[in-house]
Amino acid sequence: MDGRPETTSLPPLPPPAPPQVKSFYCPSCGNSLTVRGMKQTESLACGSCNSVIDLTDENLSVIARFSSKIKYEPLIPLGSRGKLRGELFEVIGFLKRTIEVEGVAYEWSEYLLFNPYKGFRWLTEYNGHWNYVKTTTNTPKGSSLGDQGPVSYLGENFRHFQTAHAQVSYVLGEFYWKVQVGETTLVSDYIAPPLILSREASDNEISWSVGEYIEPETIWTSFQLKTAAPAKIGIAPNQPSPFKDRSARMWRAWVVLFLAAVLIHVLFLLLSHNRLVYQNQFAFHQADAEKARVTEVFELPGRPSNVVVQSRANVNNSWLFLSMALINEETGNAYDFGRELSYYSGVDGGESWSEGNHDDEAILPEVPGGRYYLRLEPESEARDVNYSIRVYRDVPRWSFFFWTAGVLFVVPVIHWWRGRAYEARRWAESDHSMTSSDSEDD
Amino acid sequence: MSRATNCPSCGAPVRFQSAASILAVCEYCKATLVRHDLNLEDVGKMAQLQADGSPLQLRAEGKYRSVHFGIVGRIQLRFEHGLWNEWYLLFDDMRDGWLGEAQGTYAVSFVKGVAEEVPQFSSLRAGQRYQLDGRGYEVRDVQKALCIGGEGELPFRVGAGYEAPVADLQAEGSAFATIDYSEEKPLVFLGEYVEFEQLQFAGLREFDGW
Repeated sequence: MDGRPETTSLPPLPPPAPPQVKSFYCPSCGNSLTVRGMKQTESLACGSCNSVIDLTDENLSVIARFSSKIKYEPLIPLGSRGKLRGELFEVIGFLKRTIEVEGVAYEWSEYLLFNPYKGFRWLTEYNGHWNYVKTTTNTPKGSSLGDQGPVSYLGENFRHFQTAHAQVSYVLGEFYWKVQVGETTLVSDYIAPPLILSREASDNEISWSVGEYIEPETIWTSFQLKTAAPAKIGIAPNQPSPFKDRSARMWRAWVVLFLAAVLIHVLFLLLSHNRLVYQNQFAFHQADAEKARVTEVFELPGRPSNVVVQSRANVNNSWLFLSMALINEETGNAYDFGRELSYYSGVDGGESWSEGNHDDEAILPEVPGGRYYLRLEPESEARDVNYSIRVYRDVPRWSFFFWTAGVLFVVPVIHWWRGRAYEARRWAESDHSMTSSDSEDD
Repeated sequence: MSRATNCPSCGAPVRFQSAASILAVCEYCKATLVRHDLNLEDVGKMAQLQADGSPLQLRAEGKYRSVHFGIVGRIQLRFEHGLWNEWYLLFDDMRDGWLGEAQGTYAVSFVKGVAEEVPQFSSLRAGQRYQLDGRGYEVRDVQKALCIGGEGELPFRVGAGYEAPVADLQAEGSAFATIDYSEEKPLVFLGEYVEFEQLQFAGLREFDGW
């Protein structure tokens, strides 16, 4: 191979020794400090005196001091190592950043992770929600359309969430630049849960990072932390919606149940006899002394099933009340029921009106097979009323189907509504809150 | 092609592997040797490079787009956010290129003559957009880097204290450009950001405990 560089032909000269973890005493307060950044870090903040030390200076001079009322304790101690997404990293720095929105300060934590070969990553924490963040060298598209526009990154669309000035408010440990409390960047966040893209702009630098929502348990397991992870409060900008997650499964289940309901109904339609077992016409006369009468005996065939009693009367501006009983000839078992038929009509102020019906239908569920007759006791204020009775056995009922379909329909509606409420809560914290949201939750 | 000769200062073998190289730093005596045809001129000692935490080193090897390369030189620079190395690569297909490395980000680039007029350094601001070689780029970072020194072989003369005004630009996707204003005529380097794993390195430095 002629073209191959002869990279090994020089007599070997030992390469300079690679950097190692080392310790020194804080030039300001004498506290013992550890440098873990293998010469890839530039500054170190001492946790006991809040001095920021220049690691690139042989004399380890103090660049600046900051004041902080609170001494923050990182949840993941500096020096902890853990594997995230298959890559080993060590926590070397911790900082807090603050943004102010409408006079309210929001503060979150950032943990700087380091691997001498792979460089740096971040773990960020706000209200118990965590993101695993990496500076991206792949510029999202559409970023030139303005800060509030959507951007696309690796084929995925991200919606603008918030733009705010973020200020470093506390630092501890090592950083790859000369960190300063008070340094400010303009941060724009774009979301496509579980991902978040952040654009950070200062006067002479723009950088993009991509973060992925990560469960605290994952971090606690991988860094073998013994403490309890802080509870999650609210919804994080890029927290995956549990409703969106469940949607596909839920719709599949919904379709299966709906088809099952249709199938059951079709079976009912096919199997029901829907047979006319009795019909007759009667007349009511106010003058008759004997008001009650019984019909001939008729057969209700088959398994226990419903019986539909249809009645029809030629009432006009009057009513007919039928006290009825379906009586088993053999056992004397009676199903008592009463139905009223009434019909009124007239003209009022030039508008004709009507109310009531000439027809009625009574349903008796689960009547065992056997020989039956009806006892009828009509009452009316009219002098004469003609009425007819029809008795049907085993009539297919649509109501079961409609009830089932209705109940089934409620589930996705509630699901959709809860998903929407979830999104409303997410976006309530953004620059674009969902205006019509009632942001209720359970 | 590879040409071996001897250091005029200490007599150690000095090898130029890339035909484009005009400078080599003697590994033994740190003499800065400039190539004039067959002669080597000793222009003085190269400044000591700053001990850094780069996992790369001379003679490490890797692959970029399935072409094998060796690291034959480097320029070490200091910029606002720390140290930055430009590693000079010689590919098996005889192209030479650069691997920029800072804080765990890696970018491979090649010098490229572009038709467009290159903007003045003083007019550059982060966020501005320019066309380079027919492609739109956004200015991401503008600064004056300071050269700490060099090692191995290099295609131009470098020395300590050399000021390198540079601008990093990025196009959509991972494409990036660097404009180097340290020469009279600005040099444009076009390339892309790559992941550490993609380069399939061998012969890296080893860190204790990692």
